[in-house]
Order: sequence, then structure tokens, then C-alpha cells
Amino acid sequence: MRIPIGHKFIIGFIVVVAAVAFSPGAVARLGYSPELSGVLGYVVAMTTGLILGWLFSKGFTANIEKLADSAKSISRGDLTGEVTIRPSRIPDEIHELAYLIDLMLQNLRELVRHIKKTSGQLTESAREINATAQEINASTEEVAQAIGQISRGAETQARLVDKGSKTIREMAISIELVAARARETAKTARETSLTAQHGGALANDSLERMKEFFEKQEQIGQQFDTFNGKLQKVGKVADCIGDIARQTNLLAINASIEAARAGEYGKGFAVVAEEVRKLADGSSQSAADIGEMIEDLRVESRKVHEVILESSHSIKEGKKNIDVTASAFQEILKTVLDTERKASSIADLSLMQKEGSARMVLAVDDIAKVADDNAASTVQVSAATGEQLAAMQNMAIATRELTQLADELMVVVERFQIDNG
Amino acid sequence: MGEAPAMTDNIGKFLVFSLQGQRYGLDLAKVAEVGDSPRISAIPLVPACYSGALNFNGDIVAVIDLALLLGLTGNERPGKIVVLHREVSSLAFLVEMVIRIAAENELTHRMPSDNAFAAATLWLPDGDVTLLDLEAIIHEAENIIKPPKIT
Repeated sequence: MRIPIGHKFIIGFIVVVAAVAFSPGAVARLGYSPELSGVLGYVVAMTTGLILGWLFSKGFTANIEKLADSAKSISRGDLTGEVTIRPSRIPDEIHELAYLIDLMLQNLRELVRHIKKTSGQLTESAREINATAQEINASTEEVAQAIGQISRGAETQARLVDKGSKTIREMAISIELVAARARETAKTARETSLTAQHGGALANDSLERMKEFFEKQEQIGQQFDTFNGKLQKVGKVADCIGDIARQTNLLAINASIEAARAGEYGKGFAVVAEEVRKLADGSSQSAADIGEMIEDLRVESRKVHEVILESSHSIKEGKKNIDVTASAFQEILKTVLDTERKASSIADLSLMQKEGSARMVLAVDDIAKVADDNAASTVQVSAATGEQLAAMQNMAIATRELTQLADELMVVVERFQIDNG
Repeated sequence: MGEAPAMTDNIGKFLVFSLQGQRYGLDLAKVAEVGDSPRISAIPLVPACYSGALNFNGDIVAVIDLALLLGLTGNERPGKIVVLHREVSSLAFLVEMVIRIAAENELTHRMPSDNAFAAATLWLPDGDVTLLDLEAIIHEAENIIKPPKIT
């Protein structure tokens, strides 16, 4: 049965007052002198009042002290204990207060435990975040360096592509020149083929003329034979004349001998004989001259014949050469036609190459543009990475602060004891 | 023919001929005839300068290769024959070539020769001629063919 504390006070007061009021009566019953009983009655009444008052006040204050002690230890941060007061059959507001404080203590304990746990987790997480932030920081620095390299590489690439573009333009010009040269070559080959055809025709004409020459040369040979035969006949006649002259000479000498032997009578005959001998000498000389001339003629004609034969040999060789030349012209013609075909093919191919190189120039220009864009982009990326790096550094600082805060929180929370020992 | 120079018996004449390219002469009075080298019959067991024998108008005449006899060397083959007068000797000489008959009045100079078979060297307008000593030659020809004397 719950009795409010105010009622308890009133009851207590009534009890004390009753005890005091009834004490002189009780004492008087003991049979003491009235004076003594009067004095003793006052004393007993005062003592009973004091004892009862002490008991009542003690009964009231004991629980309040307990509560004060509990509140004191809670205020120190000790949340380990329990707020218990002696249970009473007649609970009052103190008991409710004790119960509520105990409930509050339990709730506080729960709260502190939760805060401790959370702040531990927070510290742990903050540490992890800090570590991660540092790692990210390091990675971001690497990324920044890498992007710096990429940026430089992109610049180099842009420069190289520019160079490549120039080279390809030059190559395109060269290809155009090659095409022009190939066209010229084809033209020249066509002209050469005409010349070779002309040359072949001339060589064939020469061969025809040579055939005629050989026929005529054969005729000349026959004529030479006839001429030599006639010359031999003349020679024979001259020999005959020479023979006659020689015999006449001898006859004249013999006539001179006979004339000498005849002495004075033979004198005139000797003169005649001498003249005959001189004539014979002259004839002999003339015959010899004729013979020599014929011999000279024969030698000369033989020489002429030999020269003709030689020249015919040479011409035969020449004919062979012309044959070779004619076939060479045929070969040249073939080769030149082949050359013309090839040169035309080169011209066509280099035209295609020219178109290809023009496309290549465009493509390389595009590539150059892309490379420039890449270079610009990498610069932007580099700047972004720098910003990111700065942000990451800030974040690292923030996480460090967070860790610090978590630590501080831990320290604060640690002041609350929630478990025994 | 024109005016013939004065010819008397006193004026000597020479037959000029050649042997191995050199000109020689013989007294024309000793010569019977000249001619082309006829067929000569070989005579066995005679010295090399005896080429053989021939029939000259019924007389047998010994033919001597005059170049060999005189000891001349060369490649020229004799082509003519000079037959001596039968009163001089029954000999004929094979010579290379008969050139002409020269008269003594044509001589520009005459000088003696130291050759055993030469009588003199004659200077003619067309060149020198060695005049042969016919007697020495005949003597040599006989000496060659005679057997050694037994004393």
C-alpha cells in the first residue's frame, strides 16, 4: 500500500506526539512520587519523542542518502552499481525515485555502452578511412605523375604526328614525281619501240641489199676468172715473144761470132747481127715488161679479188651482225613494249598511290587533330588530377581530424564505467 | 743501124756472160756458138764440174759447169751453153746468162787481175767484166780429169 511521504510525516508526528502525551501517564502508573513522577514523565516523554523522532528521521533519510550516494557515483561516471533501497511494505515517493534513478542508470549505461561501441567503431573506421585516404593520396600522386607523363607523351606524339604529316606530304609529292617520270618513261618507250621497228626494217632492208651484193659479187668473181684466163693467154703470148726474142738474141750472137770469124767480110754482117741482137734484146725486154705487167695485173687483180673476197667475208660477218641486229631489234622491241607496259603500270599504280597518299594526308591530319585534342585533354586531366590530389589531401587531413575527434570522444566516453572490473 | 764503127781484125771482141750474178768475158774468137742448154749426157766417174757430154754438130764435146770449176758458189742454175771453137778445145761451158758481145774499143779501162783464171779486168760502160784466161781454164780442166802422174 503506497503512502505518500507527507502522510508518513504526519503519522510519525502523530505517533511522537502520542508517545509524549501518553508518557507521563505511563510513568505515573509506576508508583513514583508525583514530583518524581512528574519529572520522570517529562524525561520519558522527551526521550521517547527523541527516540521515535530519530527512528522516523532515520527511516526517511537513510533512503535519501543511498539515493544521494548513487547520484554522486553516477555523477562521477560510475554506472556500474544499482540503485537499491530497502524494500518496504509501504513504498513512498523515495522508492519511485530510486526506481526511476535506477532506470535512468540502466538507460545511461546502455547509452554509454552504445556510444563506446560506436566511438570505437568510429575510431576504427576513421583510421581505416585515413589509411585509405593516404593510399588514395599516394595513388593519386602516381596517377598525377602518370598523367604528367601521358601529357608529355601526348605532346611528343602530337609533334611526331606533325612531323609524320610533313613526311607524308613530301612522300605524296615524290609519288607524283614518280608518276610523272613513269608517264615520261612510257612515252619514251613508245618512241623507242617506233625507232626499234624502224631499225628492224632498216636491218631487213640491209639484208636484202646484201643478198643482191652477194649475187653481184659472185658475178664479179666469174668475171675475174674470165679476166685472169685472158690475162694468162696474153702472158703466154708474151712468153712466146720473149722466147723468140731470146732465141733471136742467141742467133744474133752466133751470127756475130760467125761474122767475127769471117773477118773483113763479115764486118757488115756483124753490124746487122748486132742490130738484130739489140732488137731481140728490146723485144725480150718488152716481152719481159709485158710479162711483168701481166704479173702485176694478176697480182693486182688477185689482190682486188682477195679484197672483194675479204670484204665479202666481212660482209658475211656483217650479215650475221645484221641478222643479230635484226633479232636484237626484235628483242629491243619486245623489251621496250614490256617496259612501256611496266611504266604504264607504274604510272597507274603511282596514281593510286597518289590518291592513297592524299587520303593518308587527311587521315594523318585527323590523327594530328586527335593528338592535339589528346594533349589538351591530358592537360585538363592533369589539372583535374591535381585538384583531385588536393581534395584527397584535404580529405586525409579531415579524416585525421575525424580520427582525433573519435579518439577524444573515446577518452570522454571512457570516463563512464559500465562494467565491473 | 746507122754508121757502124770501124772494125778490123785487130779489134778484139768479147762475149759477156754471167756466173752467179757476176759478169765474165771470153775472147769471142775462141767461141764457136752459144745456145740454150741442150740435153746433156752424164759421164760417170768424173769430177763434179764435168756436167756431161753433148753432141755439137757431130763432135762430142765435154760440158763443164764453169761456176763450179771457178769455185763460185750460189744458187743460180746455168741456163745457157757456150761452145768453144773446136780448134781451141772440145769443151763447152754452162753459164748462167749470155749478156752481149762487147768490142775492145768500148773499154774505158783495162787492168790486170791477180786471179789465177782471169786475164784482166775490163771496164765497160755497163759495168766491169772479168776477162777469163781460157788457156788456164782449159789447163785446169785437163788437170782435174787427168790421173795423177806416176814418176
